Amino acid sequence: MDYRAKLHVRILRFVILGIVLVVILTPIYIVVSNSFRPTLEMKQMPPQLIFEPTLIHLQRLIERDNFLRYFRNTLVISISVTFSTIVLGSLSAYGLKLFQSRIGERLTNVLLLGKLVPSITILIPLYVMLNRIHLTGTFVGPILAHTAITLPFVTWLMESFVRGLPHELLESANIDGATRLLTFRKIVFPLLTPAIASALVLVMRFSWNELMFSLQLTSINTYPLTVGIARYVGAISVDWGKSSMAATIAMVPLIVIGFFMQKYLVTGLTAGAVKS
Amino acid sequence: MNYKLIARGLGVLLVMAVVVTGAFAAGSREESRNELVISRWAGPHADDLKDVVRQYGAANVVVDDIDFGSLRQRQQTSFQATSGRGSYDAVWVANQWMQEYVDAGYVIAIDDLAAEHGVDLSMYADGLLAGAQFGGGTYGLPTFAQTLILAYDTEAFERAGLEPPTTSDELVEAARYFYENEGTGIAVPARQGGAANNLYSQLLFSQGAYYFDDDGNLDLTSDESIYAATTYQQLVRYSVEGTLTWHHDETAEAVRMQRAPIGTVISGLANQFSDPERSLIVDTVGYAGIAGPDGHAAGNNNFWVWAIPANAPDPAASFQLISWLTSADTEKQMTLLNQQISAVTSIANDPEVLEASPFLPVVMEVLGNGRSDPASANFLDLREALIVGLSEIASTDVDPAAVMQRIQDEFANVDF
Amino acid sequence: MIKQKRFYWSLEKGDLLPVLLMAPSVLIVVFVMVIPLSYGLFLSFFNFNFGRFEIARDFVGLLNYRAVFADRTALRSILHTLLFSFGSISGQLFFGTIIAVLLLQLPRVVQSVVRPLILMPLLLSQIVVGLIWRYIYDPQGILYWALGLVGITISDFPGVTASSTALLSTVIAHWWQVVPFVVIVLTAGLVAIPRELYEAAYIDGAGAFTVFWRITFPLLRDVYMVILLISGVDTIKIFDIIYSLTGGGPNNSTISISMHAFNQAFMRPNLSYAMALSVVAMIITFAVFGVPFILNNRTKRER
Repeated sequence: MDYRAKLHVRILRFVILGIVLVVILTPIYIVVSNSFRPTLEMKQMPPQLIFEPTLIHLQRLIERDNFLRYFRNTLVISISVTFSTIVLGSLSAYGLKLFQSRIGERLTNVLLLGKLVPSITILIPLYVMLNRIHLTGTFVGPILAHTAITLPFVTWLMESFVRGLPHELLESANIDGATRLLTFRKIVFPLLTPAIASALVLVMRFSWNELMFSLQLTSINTYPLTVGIARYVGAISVDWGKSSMAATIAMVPLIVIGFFMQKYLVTGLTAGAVKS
Repeated sequence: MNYKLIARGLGVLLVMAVVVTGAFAAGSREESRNELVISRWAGPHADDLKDVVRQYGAANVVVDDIDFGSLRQRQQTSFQATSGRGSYDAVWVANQWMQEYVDAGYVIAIDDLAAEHGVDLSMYADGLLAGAQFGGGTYGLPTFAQTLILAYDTEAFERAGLEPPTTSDELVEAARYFYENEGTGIAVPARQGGAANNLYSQLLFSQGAYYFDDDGNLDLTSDESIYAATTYQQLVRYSVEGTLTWHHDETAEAVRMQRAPIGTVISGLANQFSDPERSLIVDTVGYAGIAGPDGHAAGNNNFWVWAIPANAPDPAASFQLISWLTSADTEKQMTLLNQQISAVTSIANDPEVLEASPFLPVVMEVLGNGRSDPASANFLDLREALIVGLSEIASTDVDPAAVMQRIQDEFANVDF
Repeated sequence: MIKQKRFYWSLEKGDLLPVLLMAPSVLIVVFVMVIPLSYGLFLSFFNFNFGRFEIARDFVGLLNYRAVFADRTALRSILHTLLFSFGSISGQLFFGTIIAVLLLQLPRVVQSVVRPLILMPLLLSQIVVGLIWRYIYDPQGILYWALGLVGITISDFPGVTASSTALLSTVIAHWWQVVPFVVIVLTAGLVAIPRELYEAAYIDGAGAFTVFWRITFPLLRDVYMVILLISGVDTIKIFDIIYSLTGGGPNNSTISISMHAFNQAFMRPNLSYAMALSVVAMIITFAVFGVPFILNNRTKRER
């Protein structure tokens, strides 16, 4: 369309784009720069674009607050969740395809209902149950909860890929005498790679950023990063330097992953809307 | 991206998961063998404590410091946990929560442990120790008394030609002067939360009144209570911009950073006024009590108690830690670092401590006149209602008397 | 492949293998979602306490549910959640559409540079978003400094400090994070529209707005529907961003259902009341978004 546009229209577009970018990027710049800003300059206005950076906040986070421990816990939780949802999700997507009866279709329809259940409705009874079997405060709670919440979506995402595979492909493998499990490993799983990549980045994003379950189900040895940050920005007062540094540490790995897997992130996000 | 790459990627993920989890499992066994986890609120005082507990020889002490607003919830959650899985070895409990914790059996009596370890409980101030004693048992070691005082910039008052306020009317008058003439005002905590409640109750106590009348019935509609609520509303009206989002820390910061010439400060944060890294009024700061109309200033005293949860894995180790934390040596160290008001009586007269804490005389006077909130579970509900009510008084033009009447009606039949 | 109606017990050819393949996932979902849900529903009819609980003694029937509708804060939290949801979605769709259309009209190189930048807020945790905006909204902070340059003071727009604008402020913070999602999805939908349609319209002399309204919007109606449902379900569960931005205040003016239920469950603790409240939250989610959600999925499948 742009061959039609006049010069001033084009300039206007760039001006709007500029405003949009400033609005999107300024908050991120603020949190990153605040994590290196000395405490006294934190609320100096106009904001100082150039200041003498300090690592005191990072040092305090690591030395006093065991922040590396939270980072490790987030890794443990999000990697376990990502791995198990991908394996379980692709297996059940293939299972749905294999059903000879109508059950498969019905199950697929039911899958997305899981998204409609508010987390809080599960969290309260789940906490009571885990408490009864003495598993609160461990990794079990958040890992199970995150897996169960993302599994239906991942299965659904993979199912829409498996459904797209031509019958001939699967049938020919059967004729060659390959059992159905072998077919999965040799043919279906490799073809699922784009779906797996999308699932990976989406599940990682969810598990890495999730707060409510972790807030109630973990304890000092298993706090993930989000709870670590929540400890500084709860109801009362905020140490801006420390919490900005914590936020920066929490967001950088995901931004890096999201940047390198941009294509898959986008297909994953748009899967529900545009694909099927 | 091809299959091999993804397969390898997944393989790497799996290996990482195993390694990280394994390392963690090994690490946590290592850690838990000699680690004591204590629960308290986060803030500068917690950071100082983290530095001090490194000297504790018997174990590695981990401070699980969380936002004050979530502390009670976190502790209650931990009391439900299995021993060793998210349970604490020691908890820092506000004196108002003690009754509830003791009634529910969350914390254990320490008399036997004290006798066993030869700790003499008489070293703690009577009034404070009494707050940890229920039905003949002692359920914790007291420390860190707190109360709300005023801090102001003497220079700003000289410039304005005003005397520092000695009564509540003068306080409102000073706030109004700065609000109308200098575009600043007083710094008061008006965020929905316990700090606002603190200010209201001290305005109430300073008139010699209490939440209850002489017969022990709730009386929020007394003249004194209405006066306190009205004064609170006026102070918020003449406050610097933004106080509606402020709790104790922000009000203190505003005075330190000269954004407000006067403001309330919780005594635990008063030390920051003399820290050149955090304060612009190091040389000109002055302190006063929050007085009633006749100049009498009484605090809403609160203090904290180190207690041992019933589900602590090793109560003896916990007791050793808390008696070390409240020992005269540790308390003096914390006092010098942070000017905390300790429960150990010998420290209050220590010349070194008096030298380091210029606000100590004011705080001691206010504490001496002060009272505490009742330590009953039902009072916590009333406190919640007061918090919401004061937030309404602060953020709208509602008549304070009407709000107090509403809360009074709601709780008229509750037994405290 | 002919679909049979009956279950076929055979590992090699029939339905047994798929059942086995699905078993682990189904087990997890049953144990972590279905059982807790039923258990929560069950307990919401009791006065539940840790440690001492007897089915006969503690049965209270619908008392907890009646308490929900007598609790002023609960009713307000329901209202706030719905308002938040409505405000957030309408803003997302409005700004998202503008930015998506604008983006497509830019040169390809610019698009590929801008896209990863736009994705960034989506990757942040909501608690980080709340933290950032809490700094921005600080009365001594950057927003009021910037507004001050054009003569707007805090009394004109009190932000998170007054009950009147606090909810709007949380909605704005939420827009910042979620508008990129709408942009990404709409862009994918817009690209799929054949160019010829537009060219024909422009030749007929139609304006940009007419073109959008007559051509783009009808073709993207399904996409809008899905965005509406996905965002809607997400906003109605809102918790993290409010937790870190306002904590529910001032004067409870931003408290959401999830937040109120969380506080009741774990701050008080008032577990069975909180369960009743969260069941009400689920019913509201189903009532507002569930029915269109299910219908939408069904029609899409049939096509």
